Amino acid sequence: MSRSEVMAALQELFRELFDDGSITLTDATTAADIDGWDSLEHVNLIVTVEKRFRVRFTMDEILSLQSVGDMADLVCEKT
Amino acid sequence: MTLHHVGYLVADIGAAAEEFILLGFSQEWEPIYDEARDARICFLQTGGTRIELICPASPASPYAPLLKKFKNAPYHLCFETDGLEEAQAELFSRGYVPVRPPEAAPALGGRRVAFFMHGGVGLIELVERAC
Repeated sequence: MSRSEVMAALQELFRELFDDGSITLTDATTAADIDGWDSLEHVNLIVTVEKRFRVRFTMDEILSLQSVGDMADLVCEKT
Repeated sequence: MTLHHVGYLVADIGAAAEEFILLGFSQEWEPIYDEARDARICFLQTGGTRIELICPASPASPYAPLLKKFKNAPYHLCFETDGLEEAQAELFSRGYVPVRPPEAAPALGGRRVAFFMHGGVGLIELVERAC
């Protein structure tokens, strides 16, 4: 899966999870940019991403995620 | 692991503490300000059960969106453990997802705490046992 495909899949996933079809992701998108992306929804997001891409993140990887770009990079590394 | 406290979000820590005292709780100390979390925190006990009142000090506090979501309500259980690293690894292996890296908690005497989320039981805090 290419990085652009990962980003497109993440965008679809974000729109569904946060129930907002207008979400447009960039590498720099962070929790501050998405209404409802708090620490608890972050956990739901991690679990959803792991299921969607059939990957498993380590504790350190999860705690190091700061942006959508970080998440896309990590998914690309593991797929 | 043993239960240390129940975390309780409140919008007005003074008013909440007064009400819990009327319900039979004793306040352990006056609320302290946790700068890292931008929140005021205090502990109360009754019959061996301890609750932690957590009140975001400003809209920038990481607890502010949680208070908005949960209102005045309990929202996590904290367990005391002898080995924080081992307990974290055990929870992670059982499907708990880390929310924040381990960090010192001023309201707990600087002891390190770590937060995990589980789809079935919600938010769990670990605190290392005092020496």
